[in-house]
Amino acid sequence: MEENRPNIDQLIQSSFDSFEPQLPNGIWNNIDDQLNQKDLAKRKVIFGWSSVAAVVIIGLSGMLFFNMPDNASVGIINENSSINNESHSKSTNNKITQNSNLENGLLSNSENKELSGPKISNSVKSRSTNSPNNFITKSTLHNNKSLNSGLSNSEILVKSEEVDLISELKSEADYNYFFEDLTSKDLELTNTTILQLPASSQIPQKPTKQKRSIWAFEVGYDQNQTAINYAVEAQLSQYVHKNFINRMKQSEFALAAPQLHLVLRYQLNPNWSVSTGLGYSQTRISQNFNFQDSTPVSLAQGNEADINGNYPIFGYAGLGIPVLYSGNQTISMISVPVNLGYQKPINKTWSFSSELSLRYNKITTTAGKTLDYHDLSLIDGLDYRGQIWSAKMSVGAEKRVSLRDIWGVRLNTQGALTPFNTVNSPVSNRGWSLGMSVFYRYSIW
Amino acid sequence: MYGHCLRYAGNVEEAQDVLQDGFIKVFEKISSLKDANSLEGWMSRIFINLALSNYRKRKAGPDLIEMEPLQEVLTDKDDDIPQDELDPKLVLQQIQKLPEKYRLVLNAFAIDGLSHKEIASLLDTTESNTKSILSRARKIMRDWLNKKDNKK
Repeated sequence: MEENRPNIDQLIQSSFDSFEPQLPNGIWNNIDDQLNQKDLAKRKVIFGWSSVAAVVIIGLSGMLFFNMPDNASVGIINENSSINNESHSKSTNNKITQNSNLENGLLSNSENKELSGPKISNSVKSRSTNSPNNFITKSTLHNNKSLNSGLSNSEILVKSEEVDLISELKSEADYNYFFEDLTSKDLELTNTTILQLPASSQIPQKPTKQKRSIWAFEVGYDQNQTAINYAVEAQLSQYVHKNFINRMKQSEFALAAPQLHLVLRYQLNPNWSVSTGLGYSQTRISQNFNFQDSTPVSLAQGNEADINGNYPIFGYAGLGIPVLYSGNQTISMISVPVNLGYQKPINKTWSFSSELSLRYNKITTTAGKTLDYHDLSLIDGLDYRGQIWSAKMSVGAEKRVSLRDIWGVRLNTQGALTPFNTVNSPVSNRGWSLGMSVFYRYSIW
Repeated sequence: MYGHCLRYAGNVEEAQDVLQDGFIKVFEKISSLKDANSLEGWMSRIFINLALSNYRKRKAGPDLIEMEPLQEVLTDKDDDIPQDELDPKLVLQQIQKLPEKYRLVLNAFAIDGLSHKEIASLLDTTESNTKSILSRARKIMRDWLNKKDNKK
């Protein structure tokens, strides 16, 4: 409170001391209705977010599940391992063969040459699997404290049975498969035999060819901005002058942000994919109008109310009252996108990436005021449809950072295929926006 | 509270809207009220804040143009105004005729006792601007009172 107020303040203040106006009829009912509506809207939002959270949790669980180390198979190997002297003697008699094309990753029995026999550093045990997990590299060995050191580059550890297998590798595919998991971390060293290879032979590099994954999860974020393009409904064009619409086009814009989606993706072939899931987006519309000087002088018609009791909007050549309006609206939507993707590799890691998306959008909440275009009064922004269809097209590039992980960025354009506004709205908007999308894709199998 | 709304609003419909929105806010925030004895003051503050923030949001940004202070009104001399008891309905009518920002500032400062700092913050403008607006609003009210008195 500030002191030394002038008398005028005290006079005005005191005049209201005993002022108790009568409450308007039905106010409590209106408040009750509005509270119920708010409660319903809150529940809808909670339901919407719960759905998104459920999809995210399911997605992450899937990623974790499919990314778990294959402990079960290691366990089987361990359980089945047993000391068997017969096996030992058998394995020591095996010969490892090497093709002259070894460095090129090819083995064949036709040009075998005998290598020096295996140097046994450990007891050899029998096993019931021929999984390539039984190979380990020198680097893996050195990382394991229980290993004996001093292995040269040409030494690999191999289980006894692998000696047979290695001599039977005939094709490049066999060879690649055999060496694919050479860096496996869960080998049982007690089950291995050190084989001495000649100095000229090196452990071939793991094939760089990547296996194509069929299923993947993808999360993405879009940020778009656009001017909304208004069109006047034909039957109302006599009431809404084109200059008003032009003014609206100049003064109103929509910002779609953020737009999030999580989809499950299926790769049809190396180039084409389809995906679907859930999305959440917000469209924020900002309106700043001044209609006062928007109409030409020559226009002079429509001074009578129409059948709905609305006075047609016509200009007053800047001579009438100013019609200033500014406001913001937020429209939230839960979306179900159906996407068709096309990728074309540019090099080993980069690919051209594009997508065509059709979305069903359920408008969950609207907030803020908007302009009633009939009489230019301020009304709640409720004249929106409950659901709309929209489309998105995007082109860009994606980068594979590992066998499973891909990041990408695309330019997109998206907009509503059906108007946001209800049928009786005097104008309809078909906003197409331009924006940027980023996404992350995780291959699950 | 309806009295508050009528004073801040330009017409009855707008006042009813503010009243409705204000009560909804009151019901939503009632759990944050710590002292039940201060209920009336707390509610008043909610309605005042709502009326002022509605104006600010509608204008979407600071559009209260900085005004040049009027020397003759800044002196706020009001020795000459009639001191009779005023009919609240007439005062209300006159307040509602004031330009919107004049009405808001006069109500908030002269009747509800908010400081210029608080008003400026709620209306997203400067203190010097609200002071200038208040002076102009007082001048209009003073002129009206004098005119009314002369008619008697």
